[in-house]
Amino acid sequence: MASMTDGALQTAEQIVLDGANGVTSAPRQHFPDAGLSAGIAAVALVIALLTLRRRRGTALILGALLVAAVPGAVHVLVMRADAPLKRGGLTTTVTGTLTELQARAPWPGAGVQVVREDDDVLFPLTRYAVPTRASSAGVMLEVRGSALAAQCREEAGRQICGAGP
Amino acid sequence: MIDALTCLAGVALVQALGAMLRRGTPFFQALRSPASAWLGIAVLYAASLGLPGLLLLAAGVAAALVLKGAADRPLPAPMLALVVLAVAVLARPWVPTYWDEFVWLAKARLESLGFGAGLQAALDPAQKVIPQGYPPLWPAAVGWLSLGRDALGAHVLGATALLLLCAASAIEVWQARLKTSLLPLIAVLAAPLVWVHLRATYLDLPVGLLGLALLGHLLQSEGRPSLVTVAMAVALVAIKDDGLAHVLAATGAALAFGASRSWRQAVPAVVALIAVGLWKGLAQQHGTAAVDHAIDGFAWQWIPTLVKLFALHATDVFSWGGFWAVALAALVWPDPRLRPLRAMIVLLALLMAGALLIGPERVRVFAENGTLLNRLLLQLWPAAAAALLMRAQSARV
Repeated sequence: MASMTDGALQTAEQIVLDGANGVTSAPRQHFPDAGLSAGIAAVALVIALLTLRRRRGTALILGALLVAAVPGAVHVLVMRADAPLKRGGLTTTVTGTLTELQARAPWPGAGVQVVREDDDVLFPLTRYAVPTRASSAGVMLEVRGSALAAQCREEAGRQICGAGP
Repeated sequence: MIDALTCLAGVALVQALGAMLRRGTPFFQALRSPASAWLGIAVLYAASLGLPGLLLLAAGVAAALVLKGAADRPLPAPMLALVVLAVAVLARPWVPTYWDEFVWLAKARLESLGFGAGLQAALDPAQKVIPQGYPPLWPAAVGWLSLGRDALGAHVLGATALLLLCAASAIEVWQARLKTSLLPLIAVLAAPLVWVHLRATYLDLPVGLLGLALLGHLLQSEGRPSLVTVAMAVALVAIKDDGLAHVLAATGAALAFGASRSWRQAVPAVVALIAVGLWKGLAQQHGTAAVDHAIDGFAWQWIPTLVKLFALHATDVFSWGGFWAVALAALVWPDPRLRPLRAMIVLLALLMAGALLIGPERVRVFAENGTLLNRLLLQLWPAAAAALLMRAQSARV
């Protein structure tokens, strides 16, 4: 079996992209540990079918459910970038990026045209900052790269946010 | 703090509006029932549609006449459970962190421009609102609950209030059927992906919870569903296209295995279908129909892939622990009390699979890239969890 850290969503960017799609990046990576997971599920299914009718068996199965949740719990509570003790840092990163975007492209005050968007990571934050798009713009916005904590600059009349070239 | 107070006021106003509209139930009794809010939300939705919304209101009035005399007995919500849930869900920074959260909350910002502005923007192709053509109620309701305040914290709280409302509505109507002890309750919650979504503002878990609430209301309706049930069905389809699958599955399950097989059990679904037609018609007319949910042939050759993908997602021990394996064992148990839930889950799974098979290629690509099927499992989770609790209850754990 792969180690616990394999597939862990440990960066802010990974959380934005895949944090809600699974507890780890397994769905995105086409389930590298599928055999093991299927084996555990098959054993759980058979034991549950055999024991759910009995009072003690039901208690056993419910206990087993708690044990089976431990690997995921370790990710959610400790390893992921949105784990309770790390959520403050993630929040700072997200709000910092949003504040910068909203300062450069004030919506709805100024008509904003997003003329370039490189990647899926900054895309949703840009959507929040600028929910609708103007056809003729007061502000031309470029969103570059795929890293949060984007700093913005002005070049040739365009607001350019992000770390990309 | 101002965000929290604003949302509290927004929730109180919507709840009071719903309680006033709950015919035949004393106001203060209706006020204590979480389900009342759906009446308020459904009426606000019809109003936000403008003139076309009159059609939906007329359908609601017709439903009220047809269902006259429906027993509507709100139960007092289990306050301790709801407070514990609310604290667990709200004890986080009120900042979105996942992809879709930003997109949904972006649409909620539009309500700060005025009541119904989000809906108008969704029908204006020039404004390029995404995702195009999706039902508009969720972000609009977030905007209403945050009283149009254009602040990130207010939007997160508004969406979280909606999630809690869905959970409270399900708990309210199922509490009598699912008297449970702590171990089974903790065990069904032992699905780590559910914890992630309980503390997020995604739509899938709320839709699943509201679908479960709808089934509960249909099962206790004695053949004449209440107006609250109609409002829930409308809210489900106006929140998400998948909501229609929940309405149809709950109606089918209640008709097949509920105490009453009266045709009136289908009235909420009929009004919901009118709401669907109304929104789809408006989107089509304005050139903003949802391309993601268009019908595009039947990809029968993809069925084996779909089955494999569902199995891979459901058995992912990190996301689900052993939940789906044990839920499956509980569901195949020949317990007559499980029939409605079993029927709802099977119908939902079939409708979801059907939607994936007849939808555009792009949707199947989402599924293969791992961004879709866990969301559908989250929609199924509330009904499966209820079945598991019922099974454990039968074994008297």
